[in-house]
Order: sequence, then structure tokens, then C-alpha cells
Amino acid sequence: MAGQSLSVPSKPRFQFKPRFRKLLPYLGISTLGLVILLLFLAPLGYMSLTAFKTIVQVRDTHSQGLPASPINFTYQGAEYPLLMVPTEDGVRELALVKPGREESDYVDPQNPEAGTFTVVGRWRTFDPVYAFDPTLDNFPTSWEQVNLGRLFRNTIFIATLGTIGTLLSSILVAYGFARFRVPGIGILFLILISTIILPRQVTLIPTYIFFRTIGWGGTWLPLIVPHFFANAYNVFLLRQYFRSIPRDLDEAATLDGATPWQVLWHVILPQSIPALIAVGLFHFFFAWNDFFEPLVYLQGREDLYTISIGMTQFNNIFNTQPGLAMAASMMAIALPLVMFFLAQRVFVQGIVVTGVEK
Amino acid sequence: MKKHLLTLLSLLMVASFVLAACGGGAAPTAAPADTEAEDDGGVMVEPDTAQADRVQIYWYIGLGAGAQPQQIPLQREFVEKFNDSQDHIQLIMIVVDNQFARDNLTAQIAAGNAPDIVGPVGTEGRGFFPGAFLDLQPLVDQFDYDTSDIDPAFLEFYKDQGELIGLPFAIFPSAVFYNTALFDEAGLAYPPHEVGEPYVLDGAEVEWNFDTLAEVARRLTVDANGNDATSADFDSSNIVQYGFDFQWTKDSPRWFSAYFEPHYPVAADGTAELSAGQVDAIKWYYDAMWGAQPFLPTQAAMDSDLISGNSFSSGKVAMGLTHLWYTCCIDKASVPSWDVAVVPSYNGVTTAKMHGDTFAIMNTTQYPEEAFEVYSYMLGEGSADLYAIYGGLPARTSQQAAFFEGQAANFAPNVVDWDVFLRMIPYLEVPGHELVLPNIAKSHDAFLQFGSDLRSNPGLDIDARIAQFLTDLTAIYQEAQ
Amino acid sequence: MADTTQTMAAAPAKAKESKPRNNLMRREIRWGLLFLSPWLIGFLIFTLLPTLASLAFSFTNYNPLHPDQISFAGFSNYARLFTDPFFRQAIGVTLRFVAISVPFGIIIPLGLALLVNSEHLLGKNIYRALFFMPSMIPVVVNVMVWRGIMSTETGWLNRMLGVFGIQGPSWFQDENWVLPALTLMGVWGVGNAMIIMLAGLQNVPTELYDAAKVDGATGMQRFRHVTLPIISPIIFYQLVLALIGSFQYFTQAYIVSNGRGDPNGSTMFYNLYLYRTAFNFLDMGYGATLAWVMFVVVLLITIFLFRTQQRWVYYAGGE
Repeated sequence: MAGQSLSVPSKPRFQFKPRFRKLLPYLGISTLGLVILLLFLAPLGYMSLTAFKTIVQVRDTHSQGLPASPINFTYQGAEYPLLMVPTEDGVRELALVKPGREESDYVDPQNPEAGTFTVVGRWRTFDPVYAFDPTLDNFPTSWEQVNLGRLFRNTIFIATLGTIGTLLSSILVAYGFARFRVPGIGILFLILISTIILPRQVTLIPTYIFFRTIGWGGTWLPLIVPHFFANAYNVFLLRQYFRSIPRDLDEAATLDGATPWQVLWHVILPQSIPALIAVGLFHFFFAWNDFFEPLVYLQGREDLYTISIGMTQFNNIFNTQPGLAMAASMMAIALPLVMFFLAQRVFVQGIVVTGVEK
Repeated sequence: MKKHLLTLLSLLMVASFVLAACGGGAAPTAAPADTEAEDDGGVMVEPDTAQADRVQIYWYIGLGAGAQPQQIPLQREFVEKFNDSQDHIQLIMIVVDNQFARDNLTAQIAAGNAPDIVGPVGTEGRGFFPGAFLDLQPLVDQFDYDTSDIDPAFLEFYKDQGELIGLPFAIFPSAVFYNTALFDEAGLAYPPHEVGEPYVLDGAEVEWNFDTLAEVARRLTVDANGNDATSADFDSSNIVQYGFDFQWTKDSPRWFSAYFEPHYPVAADGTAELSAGQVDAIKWYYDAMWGAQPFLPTQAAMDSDLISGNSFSSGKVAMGLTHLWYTCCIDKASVPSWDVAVVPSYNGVTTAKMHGDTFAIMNTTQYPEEAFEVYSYMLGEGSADLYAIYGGLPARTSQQAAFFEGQAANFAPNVVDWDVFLRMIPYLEVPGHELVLPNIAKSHDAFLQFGSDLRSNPGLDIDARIAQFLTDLTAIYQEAQ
Repeated sequence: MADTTQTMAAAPAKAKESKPRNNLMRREIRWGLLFLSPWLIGFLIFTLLPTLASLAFSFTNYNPLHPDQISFAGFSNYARLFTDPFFRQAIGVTLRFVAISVPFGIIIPLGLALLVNSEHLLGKNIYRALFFMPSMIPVVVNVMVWRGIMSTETGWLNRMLGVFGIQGPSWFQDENWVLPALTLMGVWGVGNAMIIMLAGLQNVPTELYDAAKVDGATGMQRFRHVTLPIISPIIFYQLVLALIGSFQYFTQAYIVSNGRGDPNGSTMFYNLYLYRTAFNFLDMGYGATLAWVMFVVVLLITIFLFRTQQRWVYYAGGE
């Protein structure tokens, strides 16, 4: 794509043209990018708009994207919707009092004293008069109904402890793999990596039976404790990072009499902050999203549910009330998204810096 | 350093992708108590609301009524009220969506953390857990629980192999809920409120049977241009109003077919069998969705925003045939005016299938006495609250009048002919449509899958599909032997 | 795997056999084992033993409701695989899904990575962050949102198709369309893959591009002959993971299908069937069998892919 601009010979007669030619790919690619991005993020738009709709608005087949309600006109103590009704005198805004299939009774809001009159024509084919009418009720209601506050507390608790566990254990193990000449360590590392392709379903049933036997069924322990024993991805990641730290540094420290603990603490860790943050965040996001294990271990213990299964268990509520579902969804993604935007420098920007350098 | 950072970041992404790809699976699994595990041996796994000085009784809701959005806050109030009423029991409710409740409770029992009280639960729900419930008779005797104003026949009905696994609580007859505004708009007469009363269609009196209902429903099914289903211009891809639905009773063909003809789908030789009436019901149902003049919402329509899973309450469905418990979930804003009519007949016979719900105590409970204390509260002092929440007709005759008054007040100013439900009780189905089948978990599933296929597959050869279903079901029955 | 060879190569091949050196080595081994111990313990007790136990269970008829009735079932669970129509169905669904979703899972993130790597894209950082963002959204929310988007008559997707005169299908209710629908839903979560690909693209040395330009290669040719070979290891890696992921696919299928594989079993993914067998029908012996079969299949696929990789995966430096 860059080639296009280069292959075109510039014509001296039009000074602005080469510059414009140079701008063209920027314009083209950026527009393309914007269109793709908008399509990509459209579901978030759907989510946000629906979150502000009442159930009646959701079901309204005329409804545009925005949360809007038909304007009603009060006639003799009851409310009737305004429609754009084509009559002999052009299209008029009339209130539909008594709907019928082929003809309906209307009242003119300008002149209610005249009473109702009949207009022939199918009211369903007339456009209602809408007004922008968002509701905020879905947020407190869904918060209440599915007990989102408790789901949040539970999930944060599980995710935080698991993150601490996986950080502690993975640091130790990765350090072990990165720095110590233990016989057979190559094979051990190979085994570690190969556990990545071992489907956890293979270990699931015995593990489940085991936890149940020791009384951990219906508790959070199976969701937290295992993370204190390191896992392949995190160890792999940290090990690669630790290995990138020059050995001279820790050898110097060792010569000064530092124990491996001290080397890890004073030399390795301070230089590995980005990796640690990344591992921590990924675990946190993982725990936030995890579905399978809470489903298996927390069956029926509603008071212990995490967000993922908590929201699924109220499938019916969310099926019958899309507004609530989307409001709850917006709240459920808020924390991970905030964390992501705060931390995005760690990964996305880092790559950019390196890329520019080249 | 920059280079390393790049390496790190790419690896990081690889790792994160692995997490995502595996649905977030940390491969290594878990550990028993161990030096490191002890760090979090003190993790708070008790419910955050637990009170140490009280006995915790878990109440599991979802096998029957109770998991609807409108009901949950009311049940929560009920629990608080009970907890405030005494000081040695803490009642904790667990609400699980009806779709998942049975599977969920199964897993929970298997995991050894079964709840103490289950309910409200119907015959079908109890049938999934044979032998899991406590015989209440010893507790009834021990506490001198008064059962004198319960019909002894009802007590008998709730026995399972001689064991009283639940005291009669609520009955839910069925009827046709109809949206009067939509009938008015179409200029159609309301359906009859007495069994045997004819329906007036185009000025002529016709029998109120499923054919009549279908004809009425077609006229109540309208597309965006205002054509009804009987019109030549009708656009079935753009329906904005449906005529009829088996409101929340259509997932399993076993359920709705009971309105046509009750039949236990097991033949004498142990194979699967559907009666002619059941087959008719299935064909009627299928044609109602995929025929030339459809009037019943398909699965796609159910899941659309138009109906959002609750058909009659959306105000876009004119009639819903269902049980009394449906009063839980009618949105007054969308359906301000409605009434109930009798179930239509099939081959001259009216069958109004019935649900009978109760609460049961699981036999794994550690605190049977405390559980029974909660139980007696639910069926005694607190019962009026529960009847109101679940829309159940009290099994104790003395409480029925008060129940209907409460319902009428709830839906005022709309006036409902509640007596229709009482009139439907004598027409309950025999044999029951919820009797336990062989290999119940799987056979029930087979019915649900069959139902799902009917609702989402327009191109079925219905006779072949029914035959296929019977073959599959027979295999499932036989697997149990 | 390349890293392992590096590790071993990095270890000093010829350590001198002097006494203090020996002490030092022993000390190092002790420390090393100490640091490795969390994983060693974890692996032994929570991966190795359960894996073996799982194998053992697959030869029994264990039902957790009646643990005392456990008995040895020989190979009957394995024999059942051949007569179990649901097993065949689950395999079929999973393979069909692989065929539909894996190409998308490679091409779309690659396309996005190319886009956000383009020097002509203004505000690249914002794009990268925003394309990545949906992959942070919990799967459960993802499913709920997409169910609304893909609603037959009222969903945005079909309305958009309608603008172009296309009558959209009933995505989640039509057994022919539910797998494409799930695939489309999965596209929303390609942020991770995109970032990996992006890192790969940025690893392509600029000199190579310059050389290609001098040779007069078009953009397409440069992509085909410079970019693709260099990022092929990453594509390979994605492929392996996507295949493994398909066999473990669960959450989305569980939610859209009421946990039953609706409509009509068309979303009865392998893992969902396994879950049902073990935890709904409490047939844990057969469940363990299914798990082991999955393990073997995944292992075979991985080995097969590693075998084929010399043909098309290019490693800089060459082996």
C-alpha cells in the first residue's frame, strides 16, 4: 500500500499534489480502520443503548436504536399513543383511542372536545410519534435482582487471592528454571510446557472427587488453592523474562554473599515489574472470566457465586428482560475494562516503542 | 532491553491467548492442605451473611416456580421475615434458573453439599431425585403437625412409595389467558368461561376445541402491514403479533400434548409410545409454527426482542395456555387487560393438566428438626405470603377465598374470572404428564431436545421425526435396564 | 521447544570436578529444587496423579451418588464409544466448528494486526487498545450481547443485512447457522491473537522489506514472500492452540444451548457432552473415558501438526 505513493512520479506543476498523494493512503487506511472499528465495537453500542431501555421499549418493533417511547395523549383520563395518520387533510398527529384492524377511532389532541372519529387505514402501518426517553432503572434493578454487589465481592476476592497465589508460586518456579543448574531441568521444563496441551478435563473428575472427599465442595478453596502451585503459562513467561536479565548482576550479588532469596528479591524482581504486572493482570482477568470451575465447584451455593455463573444462573431474568441483562453486563465489564486501560501501556505501548526503535 | 521487552510482550500475548483459547484453563490442578495451602486455610468460605450462632438452613428454589424475576425479591423478603421471627435458624435461599435447576441440584447432591429444603417443586421435579427426600411422617408426628383440613386424597397424592415426601401446598390448574384488547382490536368474541359453552365465530356457534382455537389464533396473528395469518398477503417473516402460545409449557412435547390427550409414553413392553392424540398435538403444534398460516412463536421469535422469552406478557401474544402460576409474571404495563377462559377440548374431551407443588426436605439434611420448623412456617404462618408469590391455589380449602381476593387486588382494576381455574380442576389429566419415566434424566432430555427441534427446524418430515424420536427414546429407556 | 534446547546448551557442558565446585553444585541443586518445589508438588499431586486416576476411573462405573457401588467395568466404557450416538454427534459438532472457526481465528486477527501495524493508520495506539478491548469482556456477557445482536427479526445484524436486501438467518435457533454464529461471536475476542500477530509483524526486519522494494515487489508479493514466512511460527502456534481450544470449547455452548446442545444437539460440543455425562448424568466413569479420548485426540493432533510444520513453518536461522 505504501508502494502506491512511491511509484507515482510527482508532477512539478501542481505543488500540492504530491503532498495530497502522500496523504491519500493515510486517509484511506484510517477511514477503513475507522469503519472496521465501528463494526467491531457495534455490540458495545447495542449493549449501552439497550441498557437504557424499558422492556416495553425493547419490544417495540418500530423502535429505532435509541431508547424512545411513543408520546401519549391523555383523553378522558386514559392515555393513548400519538400516530402520524394520513388523512384527507394530509398527515396529522392523532391519538389512537380504539384500534381496529381496518379502521380505528382517533382523537385530535388539538381539538379533543370534538370527540373521537374514525379513520380508515391500518394503524400498524402508521408511524408512532416518539420521544427520546431513556431509563436508568435497569442499573439499580439488575444490581438488586442478581445481587451483583455480592457477585462482585466474591469474584474480586477469588481473583485477588488467586493472583497473589499464582504470582508467588510462579516467581519461585520461574526463578528456579531460569537460574539453577539442576540435573534433568530441561526435561522438567519440557514436562511443564507439555501440560499446556493437557486438557484439564482429564484431571477434572478425580480432582473433583478429591476436593469433594476432603470437604471442599461448595467452597472457594478449589478455585484458589491450586493457583498457589504455579502454572505453565506464567512460569514460561516469567522464566523467559528472568533469563533476559543479565546474569552478571546476580553473580556479583552472590559474590557479595547474597543468598538466592536475596538475589531474587533485590536483583531479579525489581527489574521484572512489567512481567509481574502482566502475569498478575492476566490471572485476574482469567479469574474474572472463569466459568467452568466455579460451575463445577460452586453448584447451588448462590452465596458464593462469581459473576460469570451468577449471571448465567439468572438466564431467565436476562432472557425476558434484555434491558436488565445489558445493564448488568455493562457493570460486569467495567472493572476489567478500567484495569485494562490503566495497564494497556504495559503491553500495547511497549510494542510500539520497540517497533519505532527499529 | 527494548528487544527483551518485545520478546516478553509477545510471549505475554501468547500466554494470554493460551488462556483465552483454553477457555481460561490453568492446566495444573489443585492441592490438598500443604504448607502453602495453609496460607489461605483461613479463607472465608462461609457465606458472607452467615451468623455463627444460628443453624443455617438452605432453601433451594428453581425446580418449580420461584425463579422468575418478579418473584425473587418477594422471596428474599419472605426469608428476612422468617429470620426475624425467631433467633436460632438462619434461612438462606438459593435461586437457580429453572433451565438449569435440575442439573444443578444433581451436581450439588453429588458434591455432597445438598440444600436442606427444596421447593416449590412439582411431581416431575421430585421424580428426578428418587429417594432423595425425607419421609415427613415421623416429623409430623413428633411435632403434632395439624393436617386435619387437608383433603386426605391430597396427602395420598404426595406419597412416594408409602413415604410422605411433601405436604400438599399449592395446586395450579390451567386455563387460557387471553388479552382482551387484542380480541377487541380484531373484533373477535372472547373465548368461553364454562366447559361445554360454544364459541361464537363469525356469528355461528362452534365447539371450543383446538381447531377453533387455531382459527381464532390465526386471525389474531398479524404482520407489520396489518395482515392477519388468514390473509393471502400475510408475511410470515415479519410477524408483530402472535395468536397463541403454550406459555412456558412447550419445552417438552410431553407437556403440551397432555392438553390433547394424557398418556404415559411407555408401552407395556417397555418401548417408547405416543398416543394418537399426542401425535396429533405434536403435529398441531408444528403446523402452528411452520404451516402456511402460523400463529405460534418459534424459538427465534421467543428469543427476539419482540417477545423476549415471555410471550403472553409481552402484549404481543393474544392467548397463552398455561397454569395458574403464570399470574406471577404478567407485566401490567404491557397487558393491562386480560382474562381467563377454559381449556379447549380435543375430540370432545377437555383436559386441563395440573401442577401440584410442595416443598420437600432432603434426606441428607443435618438438621431435620430445624428444617421441619422452617417447613411448618412455610405451610402455616408464612403460607399466605408464599401463595401470593407463586400464584398457587392453596391445597387447604379454607385458604382459597383469601387467595383469590389477593390476586384480584393485585391485578385491579382489571377484572379476572378466577372461578375458571376452579372449574378446570375436575378436568385434570390422568395419567399425570409428570409421572417419572425410565432413565428420567436422559429421557426428559430427549423430550426437550425433540421440542427444541420442533421449534427451530422448519423443514421437518414430522412423521419421520416422530418415529426417530420414539426409536431414540426406546434406546434411552432400555439403557436403564 | 526451541527454548529447551537453549537451556541445555546454556548449561555448562564441562563442569570441573573439584571439591568446592561440587559443594557449590550441590548447593545450587538444593536451592533449585526448593524453588521448583511448588510446581513439582503441584504437578505430581494435581496433574500426574489425577491424570492416572482419570485413566483408572475410565475402567469403572463410578457414580458419586452411590460411591459404594463402584465396580470394575473393563473396557465397557470404551466399547460404548462406538455405539454412543451422542459421542459421534459431539465429535461431529466439534470438528465442524474447527473447520468453520479456525480459519477465522487466524485470518481476522492477522488482518487486524496488519491494519494496526500500517504506517498509514492514524492513532494506532487507540486502535490497538480498542480492538483488544472486547477480549477482556467476560464470555458470559459476550454471549448475552451477541444473542441480542443476532436476534432473528430485531437484531442489529439481520437489520444490517436487510439494508443490503439479505434476509438474515435465525442465527442461534437454526442448527445450520449456530456454529457460524458462535464463530462470529468468537471474532470479537481475537484481540489477544491480534497482539501476538502484531508483535510478530514488528519482528520482521525492515531491511527485508527495503530489499523487496528495491526488487520491485508489490505490496501483495512482499506480504506473501516476506511477511508470511516470518510470522509463520506464530500462525502455527495459533493453529495448535485454536484446535486445542475447540475441544475445550464450553462456556458459550453451555449458555446459548441451555446446557443441552440446543437446537437439536447442534451445539453439543465435545466438552459440553463430557460435562453433562459426568456432572448431570453422574456417569463419571464414562466421563473419564471421554476425557481421556479427548486427551489422546489433542495429543495426536498436536503431534501431527508438529510433524507437518517443517513443510510450511519458517524458522529464522533455520534448523
